[in-house]
Amino acid sequence: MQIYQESRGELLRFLTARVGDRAEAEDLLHDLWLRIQSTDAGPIANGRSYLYRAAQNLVLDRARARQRRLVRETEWSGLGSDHAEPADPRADIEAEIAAREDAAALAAALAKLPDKAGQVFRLHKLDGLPHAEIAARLGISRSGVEKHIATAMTHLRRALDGGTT
Amino acid sequence: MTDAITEAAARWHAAQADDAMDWNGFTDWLEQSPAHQAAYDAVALLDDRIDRAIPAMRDLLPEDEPVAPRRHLRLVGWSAAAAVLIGAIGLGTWHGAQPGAADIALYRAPAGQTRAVALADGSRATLAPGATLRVSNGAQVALEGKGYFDIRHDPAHPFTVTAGAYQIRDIGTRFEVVSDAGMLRVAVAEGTVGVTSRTANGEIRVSAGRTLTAFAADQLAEVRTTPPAPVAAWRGGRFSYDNEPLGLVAADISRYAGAPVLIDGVLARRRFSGIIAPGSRAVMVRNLEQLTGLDATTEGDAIRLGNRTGG
Repeated sequence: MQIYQESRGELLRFLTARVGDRAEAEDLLHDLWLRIQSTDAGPIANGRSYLYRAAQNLVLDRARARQRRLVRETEWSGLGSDHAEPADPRADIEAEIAAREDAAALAAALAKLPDKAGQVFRLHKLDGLPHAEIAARLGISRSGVEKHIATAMTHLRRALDGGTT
Repeated sequence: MTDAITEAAARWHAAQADDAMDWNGFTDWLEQSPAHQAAYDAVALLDDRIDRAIPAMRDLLPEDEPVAPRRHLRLVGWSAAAAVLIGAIGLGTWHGAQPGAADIALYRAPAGQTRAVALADGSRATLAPGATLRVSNGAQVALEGKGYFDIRHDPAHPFTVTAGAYQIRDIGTRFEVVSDAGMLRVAVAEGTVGVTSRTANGEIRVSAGRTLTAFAADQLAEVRTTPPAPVAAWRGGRFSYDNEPLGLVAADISRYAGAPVLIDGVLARRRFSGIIAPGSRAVMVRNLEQLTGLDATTEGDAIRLGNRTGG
């Protein structure tokens, strides 16, 4: 795929910066290539943004699997070896249960956000509105919307990640 | 880790929804310090955690809380014909209250907004922008568009979703359904569902972690492992596809934008993989053009996707 070939160098640099490890970045780039190849039948000319977003998703998948493994090892350290394959549906269910428990903490933290940041965050996450539409609705710029979302995330991180991560 | 670094990381993260994202600038910023990379990782994981918790979080927030002001109409005692009309023009909920008559309610999520619907026995549905749900007697629902279902299993009252020519029968589960133009996709997060079609024999079971895609009602074909993008990622405002018919993609954009995006039969069955950032119809269509190599033309208030002229 041409766009992949053209972007290969910058993607490797990006992934190396993103995960902090050249070998892992190369591994991820290979995964990305396989993923693009496996979508054979489709009429895809993947844009640069698509490649970057797909790369971001691969990094997130790995981080998620790592986190899950960490949680299991902590919780069931007595049970011996454990395989946390990302495609394991049981792992997904566990994640869903964890999300449910998380929801109460999140809803509480959400209620304590600064007014405007909380409003923008809810419009985006709960009502599913795109940034541009929030900007139009509230009469602010898109970068204003991004700033409010960033403020909300910073508050939520302080409120939620403090003890756990 | 300082709040300033976390906030910078969150700004980069938020900017990615835009196609104008400065990926080189982001790479530079990540390279500046391992603390930047760690902060970004934490923000990305937190965002993922929030996306996963949102369905459960909706349960904790007041239903249909007017965060974004919208109109609600509740009319009692009108005829079923009026109910259909009201549903079609999107004014909200209608309840047939005649004694002994079938209890029918219509729900519609307006363009650009999702909508939570409480069903019988504590079961719930979340409608994607533009989707319509008709509920009869609490447990028979008909869906047009895209919805996510969280169903309490009650063997005495099996729950079915009708979507065009298809029927999805739950066996106590959570799943997402997308239906349009004779096509169907069912992604199961938990439990098992059985899918039947009016024109194909037999029932296909789809279990947790699997996705069924049907390109036409007479060929209930593929059941595959659900791709890594989380089930119902649209609730977080993203549109990600893995080998799905272009017809469903076009329908998603139409519903989301509240204005038609058309695609012809043969092209509608072509497969598409990719991620489309939410935005205006024009921006999303342009994005799709880039990813597919198709050409968009304007027809009245509709946009039609077709093969590149001369190609």
